[in-house]
Amino acid sequence: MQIQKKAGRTQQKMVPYLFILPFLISYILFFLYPAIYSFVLSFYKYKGYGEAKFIGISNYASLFQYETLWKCLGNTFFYFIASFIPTMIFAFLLAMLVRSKLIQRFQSFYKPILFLPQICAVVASALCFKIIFGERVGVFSQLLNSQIPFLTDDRYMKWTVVILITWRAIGWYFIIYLSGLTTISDEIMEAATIDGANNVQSTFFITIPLMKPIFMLAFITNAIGSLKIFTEPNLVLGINYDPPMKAAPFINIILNNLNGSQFGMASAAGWILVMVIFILTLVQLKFFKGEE
Amino acid sequence: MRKALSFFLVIVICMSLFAGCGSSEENSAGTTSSAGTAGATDAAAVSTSGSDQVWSGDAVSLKMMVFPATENYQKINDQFLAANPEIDKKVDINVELGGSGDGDVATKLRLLLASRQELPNLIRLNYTQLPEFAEAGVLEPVKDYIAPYEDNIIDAAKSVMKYNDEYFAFPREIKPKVWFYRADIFKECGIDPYQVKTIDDYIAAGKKIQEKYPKACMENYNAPSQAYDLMMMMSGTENGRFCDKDGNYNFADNADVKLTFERIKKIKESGVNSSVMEWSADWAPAFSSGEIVSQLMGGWFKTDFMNFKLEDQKGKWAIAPWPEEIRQGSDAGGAIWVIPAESKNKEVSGSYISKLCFDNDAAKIVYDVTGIIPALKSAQEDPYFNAPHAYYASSLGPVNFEAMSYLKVYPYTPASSQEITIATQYLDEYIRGKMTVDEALKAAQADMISQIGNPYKK
Repeated sequence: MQIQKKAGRTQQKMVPYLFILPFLISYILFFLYPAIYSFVLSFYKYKGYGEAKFIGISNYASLFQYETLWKCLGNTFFYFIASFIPTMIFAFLLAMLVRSKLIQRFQSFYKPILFLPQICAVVASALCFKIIFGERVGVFSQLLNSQIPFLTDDRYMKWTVVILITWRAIGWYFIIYLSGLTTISDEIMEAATIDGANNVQSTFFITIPLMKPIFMLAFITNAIGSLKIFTEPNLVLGINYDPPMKAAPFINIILNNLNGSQFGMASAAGWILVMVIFILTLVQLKFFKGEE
Repeated sequence: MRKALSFFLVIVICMSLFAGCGSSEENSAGTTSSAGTAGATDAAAVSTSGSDQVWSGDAVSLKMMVFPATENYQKINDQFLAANPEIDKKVDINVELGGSGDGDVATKLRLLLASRQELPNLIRLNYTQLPEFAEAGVLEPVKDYIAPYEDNIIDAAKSVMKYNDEYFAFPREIKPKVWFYRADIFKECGIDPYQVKTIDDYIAAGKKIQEKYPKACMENYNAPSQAYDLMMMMSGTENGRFCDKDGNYNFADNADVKLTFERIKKIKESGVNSSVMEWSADWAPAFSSGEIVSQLMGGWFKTDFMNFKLEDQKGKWAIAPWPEEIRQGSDAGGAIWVIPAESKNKEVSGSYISKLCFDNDAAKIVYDVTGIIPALKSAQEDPYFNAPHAYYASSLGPVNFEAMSYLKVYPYTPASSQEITIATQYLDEYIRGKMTVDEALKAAQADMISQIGNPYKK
């Protein structure tokens, strides 16, 4: 009788795991296995077909002494940081504004408008930006009645991409912050007002501390997404096919190696990017933990 | 009971995940013969059965992988099959998009080979990629499909069909260097393009035009530079190459590579060069406004230029070979068709594409749809290809055939795509004035050594 009960309990414990088994299997098959496979591949010279030859850490050594890799990593960080600051500030301010009692009317109208850039296909947006920032026919050049090489001059080209990324991202983080703000109860805010806190004090001493988990989510997802940036710079700055390496993101190193039939080197570059993202995420987590 | 049922359901759902993961071993197993032996078998079939017998028997499906769009190929296949009912009965051809450029198709082919999936029967590439796949033994040798037509193929085409003296490809389009120019303005200014023999003459011609049209420019070499500009200029030199025959990158002191960089910069800084970027939104308007009055290009540009739909430019542009000093060479050699060694129905694929490339009537269909001049000796005298053009101020045929006689194919390696990416990066640094030519070449050489090593080493 006791044995039967024990078996029943074991079966009961097994059922939830069985339900998540399809996900686990697909996760192992389509994510974990390819990830491990690419890690192993990063120690091989492999064309993608034919024989793979073990070469130890040569791929990593070659990449670390490749100056362009550091340049592309620098470009990626530039795109991340330069868009991160305005995106987070504007998205939060907009969310605060919409949440405040100052603007209560027409929310159903301007909320979708703010989110609209996120809905637009990134390819379409990038191609529009390419025309808007064109040297001759571009909107800004026409308005300023001057030929400004936004897409080819070292001084401007990366900023054009930053503007596109920021324009697209604000709507997304606006929604995240808005949903975060709705979790702060009105009672807390009213209590602060009764205690004599003005709007600025309420924001800095009540809203922002309570929004920390949301900030953490936004910062980490933004960092991961930004470091994997590919489409925007390649489409806005790409002439014919690729953008100049001066402005290319890190993913282009992976792609150039794939195009050059160097699957091992491409895998190694991919793993370097994984490590960079991992370290950055740890730093962010540590920062937020320290703040707590 | 309910638990047993839910357990069973979960197992079924899990197993269903594997349904789509079936191995393509059957394909691999069925074609385990090496490229050489497979080629021999199919070739034997062609020679023993005779080309007409290829079209008898059960119908087969062929998959054709192309870039950058499928529309033209569908049109060509439809018209070709309509004109050849015996082939129409045998072949059901599907055109599949491989990407926006040759690099995309090459990557797709690598991934298909890596994953052992069924390969397309016919693949469009550029000659740039041929060395990699031919060297790796993944392409079908096609000598026997070409043999019946060989005498009629012009020599320029033969050079883009071969790797290490063995035929691996069929020519889709030979890409000689062609100079596009405003015939009306050149005539008005008294410039005969055939008398422009050197780069200095070319710049002088531009200056002469500027006396009448101060904003007119002869070229638009800029940074970021175009890979095809670099390779067209480099293939015009005697010994300009990044990699030697043994796979060593030792070009920092190569006089012709240096000359290539210097020639591009010379034109850029000549005062007859426009700052408009190629393929940017400003490019087409620059033709209309008269800012760009000439372009040193590949023959393929004739179609792209017409695609700009500049009606005001109709009848104003003509073509000539490049100035004598730099007229040798080509852009990527040419566009080619290849047959993967492990694809199915190779005999039908080879017979189909050889007829499409080398048959006179088929060449006319291709010409009507795409404007591509066939690489056939018989076409050189054919009035069909030498008639006045509906858009250009002159016939394209005679100049194209002349330019083909100057065609020289750059010795591409299995790593050419990476070599060119690295080289253009440092060409940009040089023409922007951030590096001297020697510094740029040394840096490019160092990068090629560290990132590629020896491209022939397996």
